[in-house]
Amino acid sequence: MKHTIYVEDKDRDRLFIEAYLHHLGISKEDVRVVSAKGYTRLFYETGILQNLEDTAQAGKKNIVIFDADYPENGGGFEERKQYLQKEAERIGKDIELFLFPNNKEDGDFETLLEQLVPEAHKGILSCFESYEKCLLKYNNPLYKIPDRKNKLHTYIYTFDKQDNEEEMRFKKQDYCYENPEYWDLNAEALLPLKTFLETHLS
Amino acid sequence: MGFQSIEINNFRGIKHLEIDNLKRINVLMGSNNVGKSSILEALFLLTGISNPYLSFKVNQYRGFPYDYFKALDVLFFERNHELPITISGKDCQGNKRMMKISPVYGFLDVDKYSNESFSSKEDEQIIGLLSAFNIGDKEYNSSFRGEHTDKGIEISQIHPEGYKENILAKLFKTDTSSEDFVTSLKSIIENKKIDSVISVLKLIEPTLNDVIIMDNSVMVDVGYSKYIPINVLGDGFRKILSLVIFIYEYRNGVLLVDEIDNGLHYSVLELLWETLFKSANEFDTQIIATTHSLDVISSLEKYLSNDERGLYRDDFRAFSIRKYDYEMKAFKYNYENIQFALEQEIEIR
Repeated sequence: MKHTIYVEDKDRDRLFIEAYLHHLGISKEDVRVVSAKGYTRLFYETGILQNLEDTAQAGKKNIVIFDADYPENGGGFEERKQYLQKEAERIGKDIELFLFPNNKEDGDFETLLEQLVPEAHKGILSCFESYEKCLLKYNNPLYKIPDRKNKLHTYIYTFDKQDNEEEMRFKKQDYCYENPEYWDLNAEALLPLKTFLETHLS
Repeated sequence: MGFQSIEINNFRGIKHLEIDNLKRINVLMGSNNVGKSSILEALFLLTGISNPYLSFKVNQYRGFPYDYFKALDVLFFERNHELPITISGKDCQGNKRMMKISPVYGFLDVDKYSNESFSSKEDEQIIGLLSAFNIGDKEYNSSFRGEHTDKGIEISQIHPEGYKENILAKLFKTDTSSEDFVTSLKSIIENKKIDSVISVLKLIEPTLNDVIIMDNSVMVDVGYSKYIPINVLGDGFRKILSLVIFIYEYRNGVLLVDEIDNGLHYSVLELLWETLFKSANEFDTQIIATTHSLDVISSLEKYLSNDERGLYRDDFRAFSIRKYDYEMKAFKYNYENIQFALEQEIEIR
């Protein structure tokens, strides 16, 4: 049995966490990453409950890495932390909890990801922000103002794909996190997550 | 008729286990040696609640000779027969039943018998079983014991007066003896019920017209000029045929199937489910089967994912049996839970 990390989304977070674990030299043999498909399912879905039990009984860690979200959408760091800890207590399980972006502020996975864009390519994000502001100027209800997910999607799609494999991966929302041209996995913004993972998975 | 829940205490490797929300088709998943077969055996004993002699039968499935008294103690948890076995359950009508099995002690060993004056209490062995059981608020007792006589060991049984069992069950592995299967088929043919069975079997072999027994062998008509032996149709067909026959024979009862996929190629598993769901519904038979194969679970999910079979989804439950030291748990999965677990690659076997 391995330590288990529970994330919210199969494609988005799971792929990132797996790439980051590899970057930190933490072996796949020691950890598996499971998607809960949303924070409300985490302590209610039978398969997850069984996995939580199996992991704990084997003396391994149950680690939860979710979005803190914002008060505007019913979340926020304190709110989400309290909710998840209370739910873990309800089912009698110990968990180690990390909330994106840095385990102390409101935000989400995209908030962290934006900070991993290499300096050389931050201009792409500025272009997008200009486009966003430009659209807002028209104040037209028919226009859909792109969100941060769109921003990062547009960012990665700005690059000319290296090969077919990369193109296929992008289509599956696998943004090649291990490629230093696209993402800086040594960025300071990742320090809280790095410390957290190394503490609990060493 | 069948069960909606069961509780097992001190039976084989099971100290305590509860399973509830059983449906018409149930699959018990789990690793080797977790106790899946023991759960089926407990259910079998619960249906034959007035007959503790069935304990020999469940031991026989484990490879012990029939009437083998020395193996009676392995029915008890950790072979500690000071703790009685208790098995209880609620049937689909909500009626409760409970049985408590205790050992009967004495001497059966010839040497000890002939040297009785030198025998001590420590030499006593289990020579029978006593079952104290209740159905609702009515209480009964039954027992059997072996006695050494001039003709060898004879078994005497005491059955409760006025009690008639109303849940029939069969326990079998899919490599069950062909004699068993031929006997059941004979009964179906004699009762002129073979057409009902054939209509289900046509799902897997559309050319099938008839099934007969000739010289104690099963022969089938698949449109050739002559009947052909069933073996020619392959092991998979034969196994599915035997399942359908037993489902029919135990209609309104319970069929307990150990290692349901044993000997079946993964390509026929969806056909297996089609046959089981259709025949179990048609004949009102509850099926409780064990497996440790991911192919079985995946094929079941695929079978039920078709919206035309949506009405079967609520007829089904899977239970993942886990043993943690001696604590056992049954994690209950409906169709959506199975779908989620497979999608997220969570290990549920």
